[in-house]
Amino acid sequence: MPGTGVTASRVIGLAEELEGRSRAFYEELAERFTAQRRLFLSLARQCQKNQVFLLRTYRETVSDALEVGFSFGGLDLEGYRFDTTLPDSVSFIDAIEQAVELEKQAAAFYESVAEHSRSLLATIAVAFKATAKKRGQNQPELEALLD
Amino acid sequence: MSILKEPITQPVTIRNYVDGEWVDSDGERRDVVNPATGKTIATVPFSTREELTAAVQAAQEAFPMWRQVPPLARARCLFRLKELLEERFEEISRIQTMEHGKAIDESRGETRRGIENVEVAAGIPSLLMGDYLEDIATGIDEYLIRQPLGVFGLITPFNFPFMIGLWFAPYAVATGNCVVLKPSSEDPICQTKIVELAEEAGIPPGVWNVVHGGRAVVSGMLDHPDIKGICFVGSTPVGRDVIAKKCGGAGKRYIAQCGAKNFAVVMPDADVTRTMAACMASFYGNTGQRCLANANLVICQQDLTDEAYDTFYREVVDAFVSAAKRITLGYGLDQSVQVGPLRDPGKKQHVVDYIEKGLEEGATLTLDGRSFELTGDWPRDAFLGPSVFEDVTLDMAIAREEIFGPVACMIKARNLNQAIEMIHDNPFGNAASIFTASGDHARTFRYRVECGNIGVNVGVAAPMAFFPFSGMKDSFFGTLHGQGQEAVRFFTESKVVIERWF
Repeated sequence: MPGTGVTASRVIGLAEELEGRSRAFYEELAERFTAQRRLFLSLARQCQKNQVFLLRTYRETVSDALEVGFSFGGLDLEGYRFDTTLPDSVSFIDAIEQAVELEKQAAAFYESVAEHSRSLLATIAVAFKATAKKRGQNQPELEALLD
Repeated sequence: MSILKEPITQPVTIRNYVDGEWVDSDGERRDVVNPATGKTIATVPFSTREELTAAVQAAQEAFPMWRQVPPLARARCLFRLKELLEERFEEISRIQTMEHGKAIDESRGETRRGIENVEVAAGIPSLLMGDYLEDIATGIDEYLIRQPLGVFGLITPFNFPFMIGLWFAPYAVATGNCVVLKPSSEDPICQTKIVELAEEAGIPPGVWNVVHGGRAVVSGMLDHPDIKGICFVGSTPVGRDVIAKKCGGAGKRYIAQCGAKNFAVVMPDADVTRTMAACMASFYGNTGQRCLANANLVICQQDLTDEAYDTFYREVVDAFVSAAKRITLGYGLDQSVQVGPLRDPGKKQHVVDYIEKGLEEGATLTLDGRSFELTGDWPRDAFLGPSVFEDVTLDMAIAREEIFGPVACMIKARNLNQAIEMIHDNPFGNAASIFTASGDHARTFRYRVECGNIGVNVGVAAPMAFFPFSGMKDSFFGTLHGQGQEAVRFFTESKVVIERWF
């Protein structure tokens, strides 16, 4: 139901922050664990692209005729915790597990906001869905590093 | 509470932009106040008639040069303007929130809608093409060309301080005309910003002028013989009794997009949850200060038994009231805010007067917006919560007249036919929406309803820039509308040439 103060602006703001922090997270992983540098840098680049893609989609399709302020009723933004702070002495295994969890949380977040805005925000909802898919696809790739 | 950074930190001294120069006015200055914070963010001049005349003269002098600039070169100016507006997208959006009060999502939506008009007008080499037919008689050809007329006066309202100027100016300029634009003195900053960027985009001096002020500027435009046409968006009394009459008498073209009292019809087969989200945006978005805002919600019985209808009516009204109660009210730069203040305390009082009138007329005030919770510690002067009236009859002022605020009237109808009759009984004809899962109902509605803009499961039926912004009855005076191809037609004269060579 509408009317909880979760606006498109807040959701996009959170998505921007998530992608920015995720990018920094992967860049730090690339610094610390150089054997997998290419993969981590590619994930960092993907986060940057996601950030640009989402903001551009929002800005290019947001319209005074869309229900931007009222499409996310019932969505609990406080429920998402994106842990992107790497402890100083984190092991490779723990770091990858943290990355997998981050991807899971991110995919779940995008799935949820896409579902909430599905019938009202048109292209914006499609962009969330596409980003959820991308972040979801990162999980098996990261999990493979644990084998 | 997460407040976005304000782009204006010190009050701005607004000046006129005439013939490529920023010029001071001899007129009095008034404050432009952020309605949410109560702080003065700018001062605006009330220009004199002589200052308007100087702007018209500059435009008239620029016209012969500008009309000769090839359409493609004019379009390139607009492409550059579009890029500059994109670069300043966020700044401009936040300025709208500061000067008008609307929530940031709505401001960004307005920015996008405005830019879309620049994009469409940039297609002028194609839009301006005429027609040609060979051999209308053997060896004789006939063709039509569209030529600019000269100088146009544009008068824009307070409720969309950025977008509405762009419904007209890009098309006027793209077709080779020059303009003098008078923004609302209540929120004039965005139009000043646009012309600043237009200059940067390479639009020459005299082509796009801005003169701030009030009645003196408007009457100066109406009386000036060099102004070939007027585009006006505002109230019906001014549009009908002043703009249309004066322009008609003087032989000027005019577009007068005016007031509204829009109906939304909910059929029993509608998806109530999604309908409510659309209704909140429509009834309360922009704090109800939108000529496409719905104001009357007609809940149709159609084929339901009386008992089933009572249940359906209650379901819709309860969902509406419940959603309205949970709207977050506050400063639009707070990203959790869904609805901002009215433009000023006077406008709030105007809406409050209507609420009181509704009570006097016997309607039931199910949700009283006069008491409300505010997100953040802001002066309450211009804020007003959403109101919902029930037991409303169509003869009541709250059901007939434009309130231009966050007030919704719940109305019962036996069937779709009666709902359409209710819409036709109202003097306005700007927009109407239907919420239904039935293609038959939707088609009947869009086929019969005498309104310019129809929404099917859409609460704010705002036409895209490549369609005309339509309107009928007391909501529109003129022939051609703003935006798209109709705007191109409005700003050009059709000249027909019949050609034979001996």
